[in-house]
Amino acid sequence: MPYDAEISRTNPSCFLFLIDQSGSMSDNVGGSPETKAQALARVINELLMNLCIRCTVNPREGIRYYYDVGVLGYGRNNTVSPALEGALADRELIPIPEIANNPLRIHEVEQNGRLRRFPIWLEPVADNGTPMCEALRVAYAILEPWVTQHPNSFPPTVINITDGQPTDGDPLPEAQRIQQLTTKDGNVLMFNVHISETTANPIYYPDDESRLPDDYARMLFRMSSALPSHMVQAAQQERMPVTSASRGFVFNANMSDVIRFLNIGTRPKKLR
Amino acid sequence: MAFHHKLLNWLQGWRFSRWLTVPLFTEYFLMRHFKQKPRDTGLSTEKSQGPDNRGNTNLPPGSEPITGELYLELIRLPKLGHSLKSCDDAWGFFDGKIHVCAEAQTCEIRPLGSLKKPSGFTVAVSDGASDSFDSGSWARLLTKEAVCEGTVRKLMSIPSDASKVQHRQLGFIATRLRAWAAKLAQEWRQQYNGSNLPWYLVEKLEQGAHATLLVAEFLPSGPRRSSSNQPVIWTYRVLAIGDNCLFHFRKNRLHNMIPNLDLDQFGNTPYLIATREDYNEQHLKPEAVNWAQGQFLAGDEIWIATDALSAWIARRCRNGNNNRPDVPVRLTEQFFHDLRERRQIRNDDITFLRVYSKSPSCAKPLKKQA
Repeated sequence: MPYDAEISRTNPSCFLFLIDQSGSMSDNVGGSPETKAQALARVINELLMNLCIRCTVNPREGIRYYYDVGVLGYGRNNTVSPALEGALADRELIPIPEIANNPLRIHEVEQNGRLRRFPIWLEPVADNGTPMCEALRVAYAILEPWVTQHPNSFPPTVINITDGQPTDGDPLPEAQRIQQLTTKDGNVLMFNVHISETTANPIYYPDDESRLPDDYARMLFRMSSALPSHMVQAAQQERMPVTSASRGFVFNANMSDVIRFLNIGTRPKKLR
Repeated sequence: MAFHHKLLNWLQGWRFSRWLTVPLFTEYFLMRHFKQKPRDTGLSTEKSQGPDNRGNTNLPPGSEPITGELYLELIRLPKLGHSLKSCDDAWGFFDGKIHVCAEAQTCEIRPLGSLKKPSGFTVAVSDGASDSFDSGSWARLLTKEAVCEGTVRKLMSIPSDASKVQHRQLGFIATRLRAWAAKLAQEWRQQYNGSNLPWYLVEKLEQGAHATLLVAEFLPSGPRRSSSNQPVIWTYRVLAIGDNCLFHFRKNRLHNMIPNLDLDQFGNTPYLIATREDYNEQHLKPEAVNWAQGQFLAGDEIWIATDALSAWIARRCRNGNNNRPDVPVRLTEQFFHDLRERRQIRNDDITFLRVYSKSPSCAKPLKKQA
């Protein structure tokens, strides 16, 4: 049965986030002083923080190596490059314990009488075009050796977050090439989130492209893998309208949709 | 409404106050002695689960009390590929002396009490939630305190009829368990005080630890004559939060299962006892509490297992017409490793306790089950 492998220190899994850092990300999120780039950086920092906490077990063991994680930004100087900064700059895939121990800085906030520390790894960037095809090519080059080295692992999950159309061609063949990479547990999962600053109605996890509004949405639908059953269950628990054929794709998402999507798309089936 | 019912209602309105210890115990007294309208929980198949709290000791026809020594067989195994140090399951038992899993080997058999000097004993198992912080240490603390400290054992004696447990009684037990867990959580947190923890350990510690708990108390009753050679009637009471189960086998068939979970309830989010008071306030409610009691007679066996193994036992019983699953007379690690390798049980920590008189009945060969 695919997508059934336990995620363990012997067989870690992998998350690769592709984030749009094009010029349009400098637009404000609807009704907020925050730009899309700032909001996305905040969401990714929170996600990395939650992944680190998820892998933390006890003071003796600290963080268990359950994941390799990479964040690729596309747009700055019309190129694709690792987006984390500080000690992790220029690293493509990083074991989760290293991520936890090397934030760029730690932001301290007092909440409910308690000093809380929020690590920051990613700064907001919004610049130039949207070289999504190149980002997918780089992702393929990173993941091809990873699946060879981890044949028994839960396959990698690629999550592409963008606000606009690619400026360097048709990304569908590149996305399909990534989806053809496999471990013994299944094909690489490719999910897409289209973020919007407008108040257009979001479309969540569609299972049929005929109800999508335009060619661009249909292309992103085709670029997206079907949700594995445990993610379908997770989405149902979040009261999302999903079926067993739903794709990992949200169109016209606002930032809370992005957070919910990332929580579902990074949900482990079995963590040991 | 009778006066004692009015008094009970009034006391329950005030029971959350830390200052009202006397009303709490008055309430406890009233609950034991003035049973209110009962609710059938369907937890037990026994009509007469005696002896009750007043020493009624009816035996089912054709059954005999135990005339030999009782034994407790204990097994605790980590997930495959892990060491026992990282096992988040725990057991503890008390037979006048506290025994905890940390001191033990993986598998062992201990004598528990003979006919000539029958004494009660209490066992507990707990399964720490592997995605919470240092849940193994929380599970160890819960089991140790559950067997040796009086709170849980007192709570277990509140209901007096297994087939008719009152919702109100379960509510009282849940309230007292929350207070007990809050006290233990302070002790649990102290081990991290003063530590200079990195940000992720601080955040995870704040989220707390979570664990299931099953406690079973075995009491000798009936003709309590330690100097005579008369057989002893053993009874047990069990209190369970979560998906650890107690299986009571009589004449090689499943006689009772507590909690009586459906197969699809294993592996889902079980009820847990947390170190966080807000979690317990939200989740540790009457519906989370399972209680039952029964008689433990000659030839009976009681198995207590954490969730992965409980799911296997329950499945084998249901697919095998409630016949006791076929397991070796002397359990070994290899038996459980084989079950995991054949993917009959998932790769999880395993704790298994088996209580029997003389030799376990699985010495007799059983028909292979499908």
